[in-house]
Amino acid sequence: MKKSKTVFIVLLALLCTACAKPIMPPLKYNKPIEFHVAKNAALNWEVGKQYSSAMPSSTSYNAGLIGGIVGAVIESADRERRPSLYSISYGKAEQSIFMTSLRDTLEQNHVFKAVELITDPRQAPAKDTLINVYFKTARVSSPEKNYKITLSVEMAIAGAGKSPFKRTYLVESDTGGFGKSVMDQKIDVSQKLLEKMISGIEEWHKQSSKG
Amino acid sequence: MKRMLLLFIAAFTLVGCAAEQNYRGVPSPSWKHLSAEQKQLIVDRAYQDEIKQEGVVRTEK
Repeated sequence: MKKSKTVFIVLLALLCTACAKPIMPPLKYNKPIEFHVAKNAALNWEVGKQYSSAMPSSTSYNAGLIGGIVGAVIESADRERRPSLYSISYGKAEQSIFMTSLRDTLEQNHVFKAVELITDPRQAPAKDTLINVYFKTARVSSPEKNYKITLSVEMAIAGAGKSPFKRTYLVESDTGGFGKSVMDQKIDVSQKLLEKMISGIEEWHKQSSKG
Repeated sequence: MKRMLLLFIAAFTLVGCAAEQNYRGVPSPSWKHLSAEQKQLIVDRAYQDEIKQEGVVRTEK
């Protein structure tokens, strides 16, 4: 009976992981933005490489021989069929949330006259400012490193009559603090990236205003 | 032992039925939480990537 109890616990854990897969909420930028560009902007999103991290096995060592084997087989089959539940990544879903949040921040603060999200730079009208956001690498470290997220993102801005501007941002999530979840880390790293990009756009605006 | 075997078969069937789907590189548990605009953005991005890849294959030929 003890063994079957263990298997039940493994099963329950598996079913619970299926429910507990929240995704990152939209980001909020609370600092004031004091600059404005009297042009429309097109925000282009490009995806690079993603490195995910596998979660360790949840099968208990106290399950006994049969209980342990049964639990391991069930978990192995589940890992094969629902791989996303056993790995952590900063993938397309998170990146799309980041892109819509960046667009919303630029719109709410009236940085440009209008901002449009695109996936092909050729869609952008020639007179508009084209902001290209390329997620070069999105890496999640191992469980031992508390699933630290590292993003390398390139932002290139091109505007009619203005010199091109390019910056690469390397941001890492803060793993410190008790009980910091993967979700907290995703929000943390995205917030840092958002702040760097807004500063980057401001820098571009200052440079192009001078020139 | 018999009970254990039954439990194992039941669990295996349950797990087997719940295979996750993948939408343009996004697993269904994440996909469900995205807004319509975010889903559209991912679909557009995947479409552009496919076009790019097709172009590479064609030029290689």
